[in-house]
Amino acid sequence: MDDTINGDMSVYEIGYLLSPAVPEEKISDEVDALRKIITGAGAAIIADELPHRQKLAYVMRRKTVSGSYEKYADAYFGWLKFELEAGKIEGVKKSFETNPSVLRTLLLSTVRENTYLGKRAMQIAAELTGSDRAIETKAETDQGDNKRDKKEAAPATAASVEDMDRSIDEMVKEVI
Amino acid sequence: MKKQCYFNQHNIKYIDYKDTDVLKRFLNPHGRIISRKRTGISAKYQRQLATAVKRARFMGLLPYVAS
Repeated sequence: MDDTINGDMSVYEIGYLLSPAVPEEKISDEVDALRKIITGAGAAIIADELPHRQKLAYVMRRKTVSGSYEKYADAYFGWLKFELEAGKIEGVKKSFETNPSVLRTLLLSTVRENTYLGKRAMQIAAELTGSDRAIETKAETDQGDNKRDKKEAAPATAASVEDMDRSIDEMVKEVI
Repeated sequence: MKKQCYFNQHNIKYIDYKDTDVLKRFLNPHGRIISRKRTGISAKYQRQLATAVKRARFMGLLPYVAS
């Protein structure tokens, strides 16, 4: 917030969905156009991920000029992380939104360091630690079964403490 | 035994909306966010988690309602 007043540089991230109507080979052109918008405003790109086609969790609708709705069940999801003067971000956001092949955008102010776990997230998610197992069993059972849940959760937590330590050690090594 | 915060344990400082595999762990089969009481996450990260889930929903990475 203070950045707006000072006009300092801030770190932003824009996530965007490109329309599936764009053919796969033209995606790089679209990305170049989006990157140009950002760099044209004087931003330095810190990180990005090229859009990849994926199924959306729900069908999105977008109103066309004629008033009818277009439905999208899948789209290309990509993101860009960059540093820009706080005063210029509004213009960038508008040009993203007015781009016809961009279905949806999400602008965040974020931090310079990497927040995206990516593949590491898969590993972490795959590790069924005791506490997580407890979450799952609890989520699936009714509230009335709380007592039984606690009994199930306790041994699982105890058994996986070593696993957890090991996984944390591995992660620390990765970071170094 | 008191449950420990998942994000503290895994050294995750910022919860990113793109990490849907992690976020999915904290949704019930209907796609609703599981309460703090059940997740055992610290208040700080439960707030971050809620924001991240809502962002992911907006971008179509997670469902608003799962059948």
